[in-house]
Amino acid sequence: MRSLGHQRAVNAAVPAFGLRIISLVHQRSLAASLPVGLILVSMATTAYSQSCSQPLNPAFYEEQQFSVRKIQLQHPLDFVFFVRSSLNRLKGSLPLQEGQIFSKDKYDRGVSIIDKAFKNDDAFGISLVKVVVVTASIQNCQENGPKTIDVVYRVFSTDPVPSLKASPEKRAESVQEPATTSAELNTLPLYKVKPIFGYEDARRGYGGGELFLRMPGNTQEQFHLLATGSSTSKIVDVTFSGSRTTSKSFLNLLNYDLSYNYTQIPVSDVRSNKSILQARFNGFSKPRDTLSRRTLLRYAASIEAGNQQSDLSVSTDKTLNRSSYGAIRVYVGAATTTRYSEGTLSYGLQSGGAGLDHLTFTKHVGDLTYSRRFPGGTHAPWDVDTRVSFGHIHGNGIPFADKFFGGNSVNPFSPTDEWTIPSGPIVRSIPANRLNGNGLGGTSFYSVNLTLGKVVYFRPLIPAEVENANGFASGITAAENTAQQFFEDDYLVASQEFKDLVSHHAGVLKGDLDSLQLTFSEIKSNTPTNPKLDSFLRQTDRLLRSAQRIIGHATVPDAEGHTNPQGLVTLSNPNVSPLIKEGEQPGVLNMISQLPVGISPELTSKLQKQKASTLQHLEDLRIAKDEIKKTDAGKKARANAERDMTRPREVIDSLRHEVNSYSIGIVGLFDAARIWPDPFATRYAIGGAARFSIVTVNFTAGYAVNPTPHKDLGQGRGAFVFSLTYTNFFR
Amino acid sequence: MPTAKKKKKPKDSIQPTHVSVTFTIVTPNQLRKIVFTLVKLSDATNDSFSVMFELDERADASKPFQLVIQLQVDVDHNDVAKAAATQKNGLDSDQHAQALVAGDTAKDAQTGAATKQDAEDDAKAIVSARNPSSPQ
Repeated sequence: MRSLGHQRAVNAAVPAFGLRIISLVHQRSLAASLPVGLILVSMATTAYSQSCSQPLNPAFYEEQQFSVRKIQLQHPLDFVFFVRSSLNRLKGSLPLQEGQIFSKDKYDRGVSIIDKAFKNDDAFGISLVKVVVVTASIQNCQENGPKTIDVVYRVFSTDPVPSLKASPEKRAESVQEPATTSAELNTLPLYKVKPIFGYEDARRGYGGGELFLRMPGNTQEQFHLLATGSSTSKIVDVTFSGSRTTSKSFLNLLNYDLSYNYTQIPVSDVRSNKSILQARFNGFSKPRDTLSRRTLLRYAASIEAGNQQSDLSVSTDKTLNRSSYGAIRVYVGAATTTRYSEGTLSYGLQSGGAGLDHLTFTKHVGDLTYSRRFPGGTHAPWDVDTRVSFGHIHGNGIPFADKFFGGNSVNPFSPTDEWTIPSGPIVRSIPANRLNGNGLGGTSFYSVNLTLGKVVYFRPLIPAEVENANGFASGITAAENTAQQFFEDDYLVASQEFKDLVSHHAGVLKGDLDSLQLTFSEIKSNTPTNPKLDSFLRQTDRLLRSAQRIIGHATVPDAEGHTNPQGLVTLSNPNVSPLIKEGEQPGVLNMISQLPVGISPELTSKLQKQKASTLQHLEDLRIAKDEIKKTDAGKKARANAERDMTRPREVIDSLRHEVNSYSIGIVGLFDAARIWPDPFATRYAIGGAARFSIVTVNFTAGYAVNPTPHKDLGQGRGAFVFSLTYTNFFR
Repeated sequence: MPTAKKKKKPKDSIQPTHVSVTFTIVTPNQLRKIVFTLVKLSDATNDSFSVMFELDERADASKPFQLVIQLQVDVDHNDVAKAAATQKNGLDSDQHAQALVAGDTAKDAQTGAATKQDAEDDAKAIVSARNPSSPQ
């Protein structure tokens, strides 16, 4: 579904390093800033620290009648509004409350309540493996004066974070509006109304609103209306859009929309209007995952018809100042991400003119982006971001607004698509659209943008005291290992080799157990009863039935069609097997070593033979179980499990060792760009900026100097640069 | 607060009284969910462990899971070392197999094919099943 279906500009300003340039949605700049305020407020913590003499002895604080000064629920994502909101609700439901006298029982019960709440919470979606770690501790004990303590519960959950999206733009959207995006993923409201305020150079201050309506009874389709205006501009966008998923790998997701779009935006000093009816589809392939890389292909096509006007005084064969309008666009691209890098490649082709029956020009645009962090896995990396764009138009009858205009933000090739391909040279020292050649826009361009950044000050998302808390790190490691082991087992159990193993050994052992049960029946029939024998036979019967159940579940499908072949191997495990378990409650075969008196020598001998035979078969099973792990099936299962866990491990590792709750960095930038025709050749930008980052979102502000100013063309000594970008911590 | 150039001395690590680690595994066919929680309680002198085992099932992957059984058992003092190794390194293959058996027994206990005691014993045995050659 398209959610950014309105006129936007590709932001040129400070695509900070390691950070992919995202399409800045200027209308959202204020909305995007609101979560920042919430985040900053949530960062304010009290500087209250007292040590506790007996932190591992809650009973002491109960006996001494300490009162609870504060209860804290800490979660790595608790700065996200709806996570914080959930934590607050959970805090209100705890048996122990602030101001009460401390109770060990209530404190203990809090752990299971929190654990249960998180393990049952599917607000972030359902994943096959989920790990929740909860710790509870007593801190900030004021043991002299008013006796107070703080109770701190810490939670770590491997729930997917909202940035785990397939396409760069979707990830960008999720960080621009982190709270609402996460919530909307699962709640799908029937309608949404949103005010819009913002500022950009060409439009000046603007305001308006946005309405989303979900089609009743259909979660895949929606209606969208956007309207904004300013003293210099008007934008109206009405869209009906929908999406479908398919099983085809080359077209895993299909988005389609029908829209009417009216824009009135000044280009340089020329007023330009465009009114278009458009039909479009976007296709996305199924992401292709390898151990180190995720790649996504995408393609789109649209057909547009309408009219365009400008107050350009002249109209030439080359440039039309007002006319009907028609265009057909086709664009293709690929996005690839690794843990520490991200790249995109896009190409667009447009055939346009004064109507669909009068296509007189062809436009080509290309765009390549690449970003990387050095060294990855650290809280203070260097990052580099590059972008190379180019374009060319040939033919005649080109509408004024379709020509190339450059500056620190440029129009995208497909204005109403969230997929952004620059349709003009990006040079951050020149205001938007002021690089316009002879005043009529260009027919060719290229631009190269380079940005370097370095984090110089940071606060890790998971504070050191939590990371170092006893049991926290090991709990997460244990969870990762468990998940990988479970996957490996599942792959192995699904192999034909394992099925053959179970089929063979289950049959053999079933015969052994049937024989043993018959012999015990003979003992019961032929031996005078006594309490010890009765107890012995009851116990052997219980254990043999347990073993038979395991064999049955391994081979015979239950009512739902489930079998549990893996359970068979527990029969050969001396720690738990009902047949060979050792210790105070031994397995059946070990019990045969100490038979009660009164059993005939013949039956005793028969039992001993059956025991030897069964032991041998269990040993065969144990060896087969160990050997199959060394076969190709075992190696393949291990490799598949490792592959499956690579990404979850990366996500968890990034959260622990790379992501900052906030950081401050410095940024350097360099651009070179040219447009044709233009007598002044290549333009440059050299500048610096400061970057403030909150988790994956980066706000950058600085200044870029123009070494070759042309004030008469509106190209001064430089320009301020602002940007909102995201860091791809999670490929 | 650390900086890139000058790292401050880390704060003292916190001594939690409770560490609860919950593993939730949904089987590949998405019809069965096993929840295994290992809780470590620490006091000034020693550590103790308890285990919560839960099995949920559904007939259709599009329907919500239904709770089949939930068991809470304390870990035998003989298994404290295995519990500590499990909390540190995760469940091994033998423990995974035992967890699946415990799930079957839990279902059998509902139909009468096994007793509640059988189900509790099998759940408790998840920790005991740890292979001696697995990381300790």
